[in-house]
Amino acid sequence: MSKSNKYGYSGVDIPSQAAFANVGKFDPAEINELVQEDKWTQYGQLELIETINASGVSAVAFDDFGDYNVHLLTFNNLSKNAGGGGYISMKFSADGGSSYTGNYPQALNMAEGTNFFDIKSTNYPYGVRIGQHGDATSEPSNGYCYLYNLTDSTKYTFVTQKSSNTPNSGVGGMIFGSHAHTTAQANNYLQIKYYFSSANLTGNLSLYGIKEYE
Amino acid sequence: MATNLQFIKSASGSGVSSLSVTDCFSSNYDVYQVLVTTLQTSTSANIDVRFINASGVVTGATYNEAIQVLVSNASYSAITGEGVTSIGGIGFGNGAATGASINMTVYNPHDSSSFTFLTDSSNAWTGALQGYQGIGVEKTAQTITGINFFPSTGTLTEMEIQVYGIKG
Repeated sequence: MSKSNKYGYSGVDIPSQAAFANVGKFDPAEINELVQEDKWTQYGQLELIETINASGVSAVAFDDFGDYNVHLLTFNNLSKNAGGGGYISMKFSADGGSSYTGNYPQALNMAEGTNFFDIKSTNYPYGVRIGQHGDATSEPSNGYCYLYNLTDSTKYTFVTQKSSNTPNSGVGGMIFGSHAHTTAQANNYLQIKYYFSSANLTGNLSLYGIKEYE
Repeated sequence: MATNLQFIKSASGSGVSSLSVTDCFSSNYDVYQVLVTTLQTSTSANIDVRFINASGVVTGATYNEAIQVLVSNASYSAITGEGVTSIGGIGFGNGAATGASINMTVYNPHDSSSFTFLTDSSNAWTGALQGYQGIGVEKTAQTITGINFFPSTGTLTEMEIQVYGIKG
């Protein structure tokens, strides 16, 4: 701080500042400095990292996760153009997408038309199912995933997920439940793809971080 | 970008029998998101929750719960209760440091004319993936000001909680 007094105080007992505990009167330069130091109270802790508007691409990838423990991934009107009724899935990589380890257990509930199913696997080979899709833009999936510990090299990555789907021929469906990637690694790449066979994806996806404070 | 998820308060504890976040619910919000971002327990245990009012933790038999437990290698099961003393099994902790998560939405806690409801999704690793999807209610129309977490057995080795308000 270039001035001898801070935050409207002078002398030696100047309060220390922290987000949600700011004390004093602030001039714009002080506010800017505290914002830079992440010590200024600011509301809006769901922070958009990136939005991707995909149109006929073979895969969608996010490679910036910021500094968050919890992420929210939303997708709307996400569809594929081939492969029949199937699942678009998500895999994690710690080397920028060069390689993907397995170990994706899941425990889900699913509805398709008038039927309900339990879907469980100790190691689903296609990663985290985020939704179920038909073969047309009129058969999309809409939903969200919460991702935990995505970049923590000491913990498994967990995902809770819920989606509203149109698997095929206009039949309605939904999937919700839990997923994990039981390889403790600092992921730096997330790829969403139709892993069963080749198909192109169209839709809008956004990745958010939820900011935490001590 | 300012969004309507607004941080209110956090709490953390190590080696404690329970962990509370006090004075986190107010008239400023109707709906809250509660995240448990770090969770490890001294022994395998369900994580239970109670609410807090002006007199302290609400321990009466005033809770109802309906929770589905989804397991990656076994049949699913249910935890249900009416007139029970806590909402039991909103998540699961164990001695491994592999991580676990709890994500709850709490409705109308500070409204003295409404019951306090919650929905819950959580994950844990027990040698298999174990997920919880549930609902719960504290069925007294009263002003709730905080929330209390505790394991069904043992202690909380590590726990960190973040509480956010969802601005309408």
